[in-house]
Amino acid sequence: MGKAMGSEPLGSFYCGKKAKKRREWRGLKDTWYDYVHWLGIWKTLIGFMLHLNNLRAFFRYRWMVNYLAVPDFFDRHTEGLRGTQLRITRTALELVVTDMCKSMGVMFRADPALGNDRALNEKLVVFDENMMSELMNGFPNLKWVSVEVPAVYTCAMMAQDSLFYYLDKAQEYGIPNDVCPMPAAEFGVALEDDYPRIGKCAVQCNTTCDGSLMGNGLMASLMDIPTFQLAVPIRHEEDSVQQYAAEEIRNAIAFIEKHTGRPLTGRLSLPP
Amino acid sequence: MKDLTHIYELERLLQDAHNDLVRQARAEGEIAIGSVCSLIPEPLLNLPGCFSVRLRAPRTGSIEMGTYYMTSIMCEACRAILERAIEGGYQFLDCMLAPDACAQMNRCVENMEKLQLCSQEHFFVTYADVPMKSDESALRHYVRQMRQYVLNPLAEHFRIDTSDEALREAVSLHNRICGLLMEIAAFRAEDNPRITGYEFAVLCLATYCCPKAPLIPILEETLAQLPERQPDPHSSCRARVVLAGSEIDDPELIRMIEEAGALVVADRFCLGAFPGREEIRLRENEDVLTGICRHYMEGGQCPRFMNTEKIRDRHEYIHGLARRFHADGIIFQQIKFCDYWGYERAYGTRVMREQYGYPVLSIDRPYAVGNAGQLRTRVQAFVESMEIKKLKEKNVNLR
Repeated sequence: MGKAMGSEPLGSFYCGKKAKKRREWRGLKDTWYDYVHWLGIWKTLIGFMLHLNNLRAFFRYRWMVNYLAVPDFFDRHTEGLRGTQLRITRTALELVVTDMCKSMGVMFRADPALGNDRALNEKLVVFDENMMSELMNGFPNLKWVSVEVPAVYTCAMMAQDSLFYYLDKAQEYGIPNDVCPMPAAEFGVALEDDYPRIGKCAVQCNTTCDGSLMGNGLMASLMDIPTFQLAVPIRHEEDSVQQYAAEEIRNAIAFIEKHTGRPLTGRLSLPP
Repeated sequence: MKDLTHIYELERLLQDAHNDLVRQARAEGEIAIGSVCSLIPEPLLNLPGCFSVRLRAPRTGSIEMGTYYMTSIMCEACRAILERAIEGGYQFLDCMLAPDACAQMNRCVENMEKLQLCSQEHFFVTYADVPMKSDESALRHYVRQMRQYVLNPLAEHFRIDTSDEALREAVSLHNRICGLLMEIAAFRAEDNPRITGYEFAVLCLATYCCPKAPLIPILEETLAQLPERQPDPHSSCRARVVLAGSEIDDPELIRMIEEAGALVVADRFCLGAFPGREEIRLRENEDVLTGICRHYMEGGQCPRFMNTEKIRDRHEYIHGLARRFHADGIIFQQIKFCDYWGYERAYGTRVMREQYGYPVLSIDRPYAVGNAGQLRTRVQAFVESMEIKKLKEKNVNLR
């Protein structure tokens, strides 16, 4: 099949040792494109690590080591791709990387254990990874961050075995091994105190599932900042729940305003 | 101890969802409403002209068909109920009024609906959104949802009276049952209780699974019998426990725990007395439906209530029960594959041990307990550990 599409046999390339010696051959133009962007990723990562806070974070937080797999992550997701497909995939994933670098840079700068930028910390609102960040568009003077995304979500994307340690910790605590591993891993990270302790306040929600609802509730008990748990109705497209959903968003806004001292600016388009 | 007069009759009723009392009520023209969760307030399902049947699957053997539709990593209770529905065990239901509470029970009910497992011509199912927090916003939403998905469908389909007067009558019936059970439960606080946890569980479970009115004389007679009942002078139970956790719809589990040496003095689980059989106190300046919903929201102990205050309240609630019934320890149990109780059990065990200082046994179990030897062994070991702890405390006090 590889030969039919002008590719070298990818099974032998990526399972053998050849990938350690050279890039995948995709034809001259695409190989050059891929190589230049591969160098670009290294530039992004090295640039990220040159900031002292980020370097220290690498040794403070166990999950940071998984980001050594970022170049491999790109290679896994671009195996065999050519032309427009290759470019779309590279562009999309590079946006993820640059966004994550920015987000982690903010977190580590505000982190009392690292940058300890208290002025920045006063402007941070911690959102759980399923919480709808559009809400923060009404707070231009505040920043929202999600500590779970770099610690759990994107780590697992980079290295699929990245969360075993935290799952073990959650199970040692007593969480059964049959619950969904995503919230269990998030809880495991909290148990190990491996989240940056940042933010003026936090907003969680019950989505996407019962496991998230429960894991977030327990994490709120462990976190040391005021936390608002936003209840998202389950059948969210039904008319009968819209009023409550709107009320909960208003309650979340009031909570953020109270704890940050910043009012919501702009207009909200919500049912009454 | 001398057997309670009605215990065998109630045990027989609990062997079948479509039992004699249910048949009798239906023959009298009453509407049978399938209930799967405590978050749909019971009085709303027991208005004049209808009665609720909390679905269970007694004498469950294999749950292969339930597993086929729901996979092997889903709550066994939900699979067992679906299995029973596929077998035709719930054909008698006129409707099911379910909440969007636990996702797994949702899937069970949705499967029942899609597979058309209830054959009544007018059968229907509704799904109401129920609160995940306890605050005024949630209460207003709860009231609207109960009106739209419980009361209105009952009125439209079956012409059930859903007026405030009818609601008050339903609350009155509910409170009568609760009052009788709570008077019976009070005997469990005695040093040598004259009613076992198993016997109480049979009485209590019957009130969830059968029409309530015919049970009132049974409960009254039982209550009248108890003061004269002489407990066994030397009970085989060597420790007292509060049993907390997810659904227990089979009293045999409690019998097994008590045979292993732990007397169950309070039941903090779904289908138990706490909080399910606490009386509803309506406020004078509040409409009835809001009062009912407020009781279920503020008093609810389901781990689905996710706000931090409710999580703390649940621990304090168990502590209150342990003090009231002089419990030596706590058994947290859950049915396997339950997400809610998986987390709640882990956290609750830690808190009750480390912050409240109770010995705690934390177990997950299959839905059909049967003669689970492993479970029995764990309870026995737990009882021994509590005995050793009491001995050590006694020695310290003597010194």
